[in-house]
Amino acid sequence: MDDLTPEAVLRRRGEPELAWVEVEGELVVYDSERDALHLLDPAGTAVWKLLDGSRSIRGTSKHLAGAFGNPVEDVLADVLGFARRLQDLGLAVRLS
Amino acid sequence: MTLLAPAPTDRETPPLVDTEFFVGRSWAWKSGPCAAVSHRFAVECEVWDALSHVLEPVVRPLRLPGQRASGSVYRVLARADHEVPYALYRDQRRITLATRPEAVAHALAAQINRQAIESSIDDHVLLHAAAATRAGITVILPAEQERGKTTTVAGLLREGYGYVTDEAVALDPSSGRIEPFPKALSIDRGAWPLFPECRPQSVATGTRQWNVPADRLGAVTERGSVGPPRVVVFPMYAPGNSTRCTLMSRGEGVRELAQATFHFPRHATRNLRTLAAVAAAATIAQLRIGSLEDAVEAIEMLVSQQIVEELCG
Repeated sequence: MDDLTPEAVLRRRGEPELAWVEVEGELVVYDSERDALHLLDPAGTAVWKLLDGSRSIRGTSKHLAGAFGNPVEDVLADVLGFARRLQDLGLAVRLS
Repeated sequence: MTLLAPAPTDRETPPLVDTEFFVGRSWAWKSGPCAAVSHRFAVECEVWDALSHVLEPVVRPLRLPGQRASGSVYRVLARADHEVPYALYRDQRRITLATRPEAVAHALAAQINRQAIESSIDDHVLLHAAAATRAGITVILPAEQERGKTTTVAGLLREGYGYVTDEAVALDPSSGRIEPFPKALSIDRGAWPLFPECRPQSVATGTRQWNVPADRLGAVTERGSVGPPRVVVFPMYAPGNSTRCTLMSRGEGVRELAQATFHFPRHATRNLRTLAAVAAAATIAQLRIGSLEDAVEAIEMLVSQQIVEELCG
């Protein structure tokens, strides 16, 4: 699998493959193709929501850094790691 | 070429029969209408004296007096002078041949459970869970087999809780309310010493479970739907350990509830939404169970807190 760069654009997968529900900031996702359940913590949920295919991982990180008042480079490292994990789990696909 | 004649046993009680097969038979006992969530049924037996002590505890808690008979009919046929003297049918299909009364009861109970789940899955979210009520608060105990659901709910009943089920919690997706499935509690051999008052009059060698109607524990059975769960406890029997109650996040609760849902993928979106509504309104905890007494006390604490919260609005 190719490694993600900050310029990569990902989009979370959606229905009908995935079903999800948010409760108190956490997201529970069911992947019907893999028959697997995933739980995203509030930070992961925030990233998940932004992975709509309209911005790069760097753009996503800037958005979150602004919202939470953290340095972009710190956020970028976390978002990259999380995006790789989502890609590995099949919960997000790379568009470019 | 060898031509195999049907075995004599198959001619007398074949695997599949037509509706005429049961006409003219004499029934020593009929249950009347019964229900297991959406599964409506009745039970009829050609012999009763030899079976009443094992079948009555299985069937009686599910009877619906005063209602019309509908749905499936389970029939126990006597096979005179056979080494295997009983045949159990559901409608026109033979479920099993049985040597001992206990095997008939076990097969009947298993079949009712299976049909209850299959017939209710489209209009309910079905959790593999036990449930009980106190002061209008519904407690559910979702878990796989051997985690202590039945033992724990039996302990709650002995403390005065109302009985809902020890096997399947049927949630209405629109209201979150629970349809009772008050089957006899299936108390495993390992828990027998905890409930000496439930010992049947006779226990055949090799018996692995007692089928115990809730009233044997002094409990009242809930007959109408009960309120949505307000306390969700995931039990985990851990002999030799201390009992410990650990609160869980609501997201963790939804994930664990989903894993305890029968046939979850069939209605994944509906199930997730219903479980999220449950989790949003309930206290959710994992309970490591070292002793029944401590487990009951821990649940009592959670229920008391919930009662206070509801009273305070």
